Amino acid sequence: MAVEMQVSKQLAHFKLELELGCANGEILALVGPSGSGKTTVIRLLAGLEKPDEGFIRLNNRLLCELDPKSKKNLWTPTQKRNLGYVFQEASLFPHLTVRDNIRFGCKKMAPVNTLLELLEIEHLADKKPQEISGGERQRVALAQALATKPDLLLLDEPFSALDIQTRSSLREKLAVLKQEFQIPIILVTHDLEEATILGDQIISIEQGRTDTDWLARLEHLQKKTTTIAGTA
Amino acid sequence: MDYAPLILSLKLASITTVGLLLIGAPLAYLLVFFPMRGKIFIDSILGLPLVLPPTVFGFFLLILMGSEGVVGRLHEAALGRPLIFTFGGIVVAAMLHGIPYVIQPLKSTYAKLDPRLLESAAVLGCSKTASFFRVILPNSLPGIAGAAILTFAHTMGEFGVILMIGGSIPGETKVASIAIYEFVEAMRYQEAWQLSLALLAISYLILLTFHLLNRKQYGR
Repeated sequence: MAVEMQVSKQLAHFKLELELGCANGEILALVGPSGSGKTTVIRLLAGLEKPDEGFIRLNNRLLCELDPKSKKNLWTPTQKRNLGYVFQEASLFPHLTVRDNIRFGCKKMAPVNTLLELLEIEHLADKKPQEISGGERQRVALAQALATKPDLLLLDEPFSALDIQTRSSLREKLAVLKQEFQIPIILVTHDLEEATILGDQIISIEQGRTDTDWLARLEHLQKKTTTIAGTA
Repeated sequence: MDYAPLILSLKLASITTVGLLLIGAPLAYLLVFFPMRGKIFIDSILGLPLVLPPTVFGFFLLILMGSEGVVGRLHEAALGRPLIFTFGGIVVAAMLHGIPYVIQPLKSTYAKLDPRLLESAAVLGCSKTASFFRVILPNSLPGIAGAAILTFAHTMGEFGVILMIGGSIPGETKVASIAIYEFVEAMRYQEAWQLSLALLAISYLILLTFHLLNRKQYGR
C-alpha cells in the first residue's frame, strides 16, 4: 500500500478509530453521513490535525507515529508531507490569477501549461478565482493540488457543491487523472453513487468507525428501489 | 507663517507609521495565529495607550527613557547622547503610544481571513513565514492601509506624550499640535488659526481616504 493509516482521535461526540490503506493508482472512497468523521480522516492524513494515537505511512515513510504509552512522538508537519488537497469549496488565493494559483506550490513543479491543458482550463489562465464558476474553480484547485507532484491526493467532497452536469464531467476528469498520475487518491463523499462510480475501494464511516454493514444496506435499498420502479 | 512644526509633524507621523507597520504586521500575525500562553496579558498591555491619559503614559516613558531610566541609560551608553528632548525620542514615544492603532485593525483583518487559505498554503509546502508574505499580507492590504491611516492620523494629533518626552524644541520636537498650544497661550490667534486649519485639512483628507478605501473594500 502506498498510504497506510491506523489512528484514533477523541472527537467531541465520539472516538474516531480507523484503519485504511490505498495503493498507487487507486481511489479510496470514504463515505458516510455528515459528522461521521470523514473530513477529520483526511485532515489527519494532511497533518492539519493530530491524532491521539496511531501511525500514518506514505510510500514507506512514516509521517506520524504517536503512542503515549511508549512515548513515540514522530510528527511530520503538513508542509513536508508532499500532498495535494482539494477542499469542498475551492480555496484558491483570491489575489492571484489561475496560472499563479497553480504554480503557487513551493516544491517541485509539474509544468503549469500541461495541467491547464489536462484540466481544460487554458482559457482561464489569466483570470482571478472570483471571475470563474464553481466548477472551474474546482478544476483549478485540482490542477493546483497536482502541480506539486504530490505523493497522495486528498479530495474533501470536491464535487458536492456543483450541478449534476459539472459533477459528472469532473468525475470523468478524475478517472483520467487517476490513470495519468498513478498516486493514491482518497475521496471523501457522502454520495454513495459517486463512491461506487469512482472508488476502487470503499470504506463507509459511521461515528468514526468503519461501518461494515453499509453494503448490505445499499443492496437492500437498491432492491427496494427496483421493486418500486417495477411496480410503477 | 512658520511651517516647520507642520513639516515636523508630517515627518514624525510618516516615520512612526512605517515603523509601526513593520513591527505591527508580524506582531499581529503572532497574536492571531500562534497559540501562546498569556496572550490575553500581552493584548491588554498593548492596548494600554488607548485607555491611559497621554500625560500618564508620557510620564512613564519619561522615567524609562530619561537619563536615569533603563532605556535612556542604554541609549546614552550606545550613542553618547540622551534620548529625551530629541526627534528620535519622540519617534520612540509616538510609536509606543500608537501601537494599538496598528495592532487592533491588523488583528481584526487577519482574523477575518479564510483559514483554509493558510491550510492550502501549508499543504502546498509553504512555511509559516512564506505564508505570511505570500498569503496573509497580500490579502490584508485594505486592513494594512486602514491601520496606516489611523496611525498616521493619530500621530499627527499627538500632543501629551510628545510634550512629556520632547518638550518644545523648534525644529527638533516642536510639532504642530504643540506649536498651536503655544500660539494660543501667547494669544497669537492668527498663527494658531493658520496651523489649525492646515491640520484640519490634512486630518480631513486622511479620514476621507480611509472611508474611500473602506467603501472600495465593502462596496458601500
